[in-house]
Amino acid sequence: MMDVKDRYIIDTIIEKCEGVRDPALIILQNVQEILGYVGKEYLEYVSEKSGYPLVELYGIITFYPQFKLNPPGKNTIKVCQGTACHVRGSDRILGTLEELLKISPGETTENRLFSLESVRCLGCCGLAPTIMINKKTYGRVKPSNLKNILAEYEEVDQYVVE
Amino acid sequence: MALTGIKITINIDGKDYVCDPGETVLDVAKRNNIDIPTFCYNPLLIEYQRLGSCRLCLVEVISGGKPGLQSSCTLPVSTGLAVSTHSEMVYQARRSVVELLLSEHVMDCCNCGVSGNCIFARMCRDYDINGTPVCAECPNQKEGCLLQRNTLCLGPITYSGCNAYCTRKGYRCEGCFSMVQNEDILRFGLKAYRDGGFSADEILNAARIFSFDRIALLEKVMKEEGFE
Amino acid sequence: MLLSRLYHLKEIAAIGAGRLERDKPQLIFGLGTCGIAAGGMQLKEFAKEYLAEKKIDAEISSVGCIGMCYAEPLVDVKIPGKPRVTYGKMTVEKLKEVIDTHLVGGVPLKKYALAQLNSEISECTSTTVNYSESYEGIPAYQDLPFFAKQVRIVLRNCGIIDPEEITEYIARGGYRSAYKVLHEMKPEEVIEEIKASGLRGRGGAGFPTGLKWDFCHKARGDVKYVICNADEGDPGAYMDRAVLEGDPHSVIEGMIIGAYAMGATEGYIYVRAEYPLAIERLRIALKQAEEYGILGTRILGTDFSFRIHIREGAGVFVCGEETALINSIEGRRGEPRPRPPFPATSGLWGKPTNINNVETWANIAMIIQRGSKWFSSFGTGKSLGTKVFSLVGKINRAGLIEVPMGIPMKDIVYEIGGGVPNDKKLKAVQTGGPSGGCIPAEHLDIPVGYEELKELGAIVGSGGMVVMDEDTCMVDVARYFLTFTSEESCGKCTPCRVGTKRMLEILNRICTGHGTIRDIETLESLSAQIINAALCGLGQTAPNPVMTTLRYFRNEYLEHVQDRRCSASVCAALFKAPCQNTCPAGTNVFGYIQMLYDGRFAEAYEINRENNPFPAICGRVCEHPCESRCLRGQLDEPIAIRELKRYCADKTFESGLPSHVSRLGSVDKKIAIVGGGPSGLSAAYFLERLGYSTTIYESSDELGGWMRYGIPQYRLPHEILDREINDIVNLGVEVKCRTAVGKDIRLEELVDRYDAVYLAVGAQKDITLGLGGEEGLIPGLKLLRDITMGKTIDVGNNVLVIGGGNVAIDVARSLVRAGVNKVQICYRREEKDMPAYVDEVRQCKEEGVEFHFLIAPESLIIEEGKVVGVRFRKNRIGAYTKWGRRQPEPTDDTIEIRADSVVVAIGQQIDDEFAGDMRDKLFERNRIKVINNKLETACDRIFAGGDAVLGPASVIQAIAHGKCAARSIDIRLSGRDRFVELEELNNRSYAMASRENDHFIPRETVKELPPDARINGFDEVVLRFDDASAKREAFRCLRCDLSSEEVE
Repeated sequence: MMDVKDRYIIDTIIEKCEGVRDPALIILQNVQEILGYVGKEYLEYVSEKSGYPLVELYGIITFYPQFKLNPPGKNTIKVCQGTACHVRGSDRILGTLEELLKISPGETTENRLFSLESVRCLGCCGLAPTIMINKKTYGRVKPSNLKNILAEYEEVDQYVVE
Repeated sequence: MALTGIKITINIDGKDYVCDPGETVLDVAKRNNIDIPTFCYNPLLIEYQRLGSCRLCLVEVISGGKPGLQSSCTLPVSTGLAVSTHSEMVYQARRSVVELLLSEHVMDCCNCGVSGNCIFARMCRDYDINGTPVCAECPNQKEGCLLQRNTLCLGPITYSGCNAYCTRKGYRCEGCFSMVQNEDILRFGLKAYRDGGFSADEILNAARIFSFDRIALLEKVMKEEGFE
Repeated sequence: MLLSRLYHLKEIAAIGAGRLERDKPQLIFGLGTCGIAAGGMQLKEFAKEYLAEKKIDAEISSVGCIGMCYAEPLVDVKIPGKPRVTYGKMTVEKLKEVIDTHLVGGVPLKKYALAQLNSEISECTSTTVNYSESYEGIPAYQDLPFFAKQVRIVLRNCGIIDPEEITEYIARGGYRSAYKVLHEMKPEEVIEEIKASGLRGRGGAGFPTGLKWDFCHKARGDVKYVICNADEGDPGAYMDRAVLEGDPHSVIEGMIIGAYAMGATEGYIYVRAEYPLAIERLRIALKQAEEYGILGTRILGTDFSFRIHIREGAGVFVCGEETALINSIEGRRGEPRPRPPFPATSGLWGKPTNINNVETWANIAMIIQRGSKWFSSFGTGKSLGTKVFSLVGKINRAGLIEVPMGIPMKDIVYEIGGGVPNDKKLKAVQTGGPSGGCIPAEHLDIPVGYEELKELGAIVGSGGMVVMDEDTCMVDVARYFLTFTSEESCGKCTPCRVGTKRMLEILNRICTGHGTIRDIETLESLSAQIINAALCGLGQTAPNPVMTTLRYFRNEYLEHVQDRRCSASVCAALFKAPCQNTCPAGTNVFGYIQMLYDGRFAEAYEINRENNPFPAICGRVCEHPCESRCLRGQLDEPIAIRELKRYCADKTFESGLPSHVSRLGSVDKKIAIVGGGPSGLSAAYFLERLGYSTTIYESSDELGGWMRYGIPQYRLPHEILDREINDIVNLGVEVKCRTAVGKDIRLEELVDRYDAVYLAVGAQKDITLGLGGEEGLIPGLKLLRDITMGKTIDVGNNVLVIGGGNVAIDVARSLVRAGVNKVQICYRREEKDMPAYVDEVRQCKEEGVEFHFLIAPESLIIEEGKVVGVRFRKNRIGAYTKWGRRQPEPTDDTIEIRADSVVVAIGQQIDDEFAGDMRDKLFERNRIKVINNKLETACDRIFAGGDAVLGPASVIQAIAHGKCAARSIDIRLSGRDRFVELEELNNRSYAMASRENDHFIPRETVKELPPDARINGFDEVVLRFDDASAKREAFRCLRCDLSSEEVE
């Protein structure tokens, strides 16, 4: 549910966009960026505050795949499916990740540690195949070293839990 | 937003028409009773809301613009513009648009309420598409369906195009236009047969008469559906 | 500080110059997204700590991408007054070394150095760096093949300047053009200059930029906009990202000039959200430009005001289409609008709007600075200037390059890119992303220009160039792109929304083995209609990948629908494992390796024999295409499949077990086979197993053909050969040796007496040089045959062998063993182009044979009626051909090599004597023509295969043809495919217990006899694996045929 903090964040975003022409997309992008997803209650609140009809906002977030309607996992893994990565075997990278995490693209692991996404081109074609975890890009990935890459993120989490 | 006084002349299918600036080719055509089919067009939409989405109203620009197909509902009139509404290129493009829409369309003709007044069936006839079953043309749908009267009509799995000649006269469809080669349509047909309580052998025997060489797909679908 | 006068710019330039040429040693990191992904950031962090710890007085700075992605991460070292030296593929350890020796010690570390920057590599004329000195022994940038052909206009500053420092951009001549335009030029003059330059849009469509500006300039409106399209969505293209990350100011300057020319006061840069670094660097650049009065109100001391805003895209491909992009900036769903009206008259918020892509904008300042004439001196025809390409995929030197338009594509791929890795064959180059097409290898000599590529069905597009090798399935490529476009279709118009979906369904069907010929026709007609009827550029070009692959690779589509086969081993539903799929005979590789691992050698041998009657022979001489496709090769090295095959055969022979093979009941039909070589014997083997009676007609004394007379015993001992041939003959084959068809019996007679005839006559006639006076030369194959048959040969003590194939090597090595003192081999190309097996060439050298490369025979030296040597023309390596080999070109030099005798081994052809009167009907040029893949000839009941059809090929291909012919004959005579029944007799389980082997395990190597032990006789050179090595090697097999659930 939305709390005061979320409301405050959205208020600030809308305030900051004052003076920008047609800011609907920008507002939603900021919500996505800061809150991690654009849930139903966020949408309703944005609609209420900005005056955009809910249907228009919904139309926008369903058009752009950047937006998520549900909260993602702690770490988002993006597997590049660009042409260069495809011919260099990105299918096997994605397959291995699916096996390791036991989820399909678009899903989140049960412990909410990882979300898996297959994306278009990450623009690192020279280093194909590539994956991106949060904002860090990994180039020349081999199926065999995925375990180690994932471990980087798992360990950090365990440490926090303890 | 027509400017008073100034008029523009455009050419549609070889004939000149006078029109106001700001009008679209479709506007002019409608006003002059030139047939251009549409799906997504709605006269209530104002200019910038017109979409050019369904691509059924395509016309071919002959001169006065970028040659090729343009959606007439969004094509503004301009001096020297000449278009054709029924060239071969237009025909082929419209045909493929209808075909594509049809490929997404649920062919549940026997339960459809339009009772023979089917825009798809009409389009399919106009554009020579063998995708719809006879049911789509049949006027006796729903309560009048022959299947519900325990008559083994082949309408649901037979190509349309005959204007449902037999069923209009109260006879069952014999399948002379031969069997539809589209799994989805066959599946819907089988559903109708199952509801009517017909057996696989009965249907196959009836269909064999005119479709002896095209029966394989039906057999495959029957097997998949577990139809006996 | 607000810049308003030219001397202000000069002052700033001086500051920037001081940053570029510092008075302290400097470490420069290449930190584009690619450099960071390769670990550049960690290196930088390490360097910071290391410098602090060691108290080294040096500075650290970062630059954008210079384009050498293949060598990332890159670190440069710059000592004051000396050239910058670039180090590639850096690691922390290497960097430590570089810092110690070069940064501190002042001595460049040659072993890691890629290149030095000792002169300007771009078209920038305001070079400030001191390039007077250079280091010895390190190549200059422009001497690297990667840079030699490049002309850098757009990328002039990328990798040179710090993109977060406006002063460095100004030091390299930046913002002078904007100043000049704003102070000295009228808008019309600017537009004329751009028109005259011939610049065309670099985003894909190639519309003339000047014309586009003119439309917008002339459009009526109080408010106008310019937009930079940085929504680079083509997979495989990243030039826009590199420019924005490496030189954002060049784009801003271009936009200022354009805005002034068109009268726009607001600009938007629409960037993909996937490029966070580019967005950040743009923000910094915009802020700096505003601080210096280059953007904002009354810029650069004039009355002109201009502002630029950034809008982030949200991951939708179609937003690269200009009308969709406008919708997206307006904060709506990014669906395209129909044109007309064009954005130039009614664009953003209904105002006249100009949209150009990043690369187009980055060109503008240079055109103004150096003039349209200079710009149009690059390029050809209607494609002028340069183009940035991202050269990626299966290529040795992947990276970002800028080349003059019109450069042949083969130069890009082979000279700049260094060709395809692992000696694989190039299949196609894909340009233009999902809207583009695949250009096949045979068209690689095409000049890269808008019109030229369009003619081939592809487009220049935004500049992605993806190289594909033989491991790529073109149907899968088409399917990949259709998956892309059907997912990215915005859904607005019917043809694109539904049409791409239907096309994808058809392609999926084909890739899973359920396609039909009709599907291919439907694909073609559907493509044509979508191109005509779709609303926007995305839809109108979506079928292009399908159209071009159908145009150039139709055979692959046919293979998928007719044979249910994917020879590139990509479409998973059509094969079990790549090794088996690649073997021409379809050998169950994973099966016998599993049996071998389980210690069941005899069964392993039997599995081999199901598809190939000669496992022991192929275990020695096969060209093993299977190994090149082994998936283990992607992990470390391929399995030694051939050596394992030999191991299980030899072990079976040693154990003395009889060979068993499955057979069907006998059929009362007789087949004649002409030729007792590998193909004829294989056909007999399979036909006998199918129940037929076969008779082999062989003109020589013994069976075996090439295997006996063309392969020396040190590679293939005759007892092995005899054993496997006898196993076939013992099935009941009638053998008629010393019976030459065409001489002893006419072919027509065979056709009358038998139910079917299989022609497997091979290609065993030596090709001659065509020089005249060749009677004195010795044909290579004849010599090998004489040696095999034990005849005494009199060749003298110094022999010259001409040729570079396996026969030349076999001749040379046989001569060494026959006691000839000096043997020399001459070949007209380079060593790496030799068709002979690499291992054989190595062994040949070990045995003392001398090699001469790049010389071509010109005339024979004849003294007293005897050939005493050859005069050669020396060749040099010329330009690349479109097939990727460098063409030898004759020079003025000649060389004479004298010898007691000269052997010619430059190839073989088929001897057509057997055919008699039927020659014309059977032959096309010098080979027998088969009319379909069932190996039928134009004559009823006559089938043909092996070298006679293929030209000189390998043993395994000959075997595969024998197998295929047997199957076709059976289908022809029995009316059904009884091969399936034969295969059903061998129902084996290849279950595998789970094993942990997906870590690095080196490939086992086989032992060889030492050179001095082998040259005295014909003992077999290569030894079989010992038991432990074989087991270790078999352990490495990944069992690609099993899914993870199937592992026990």
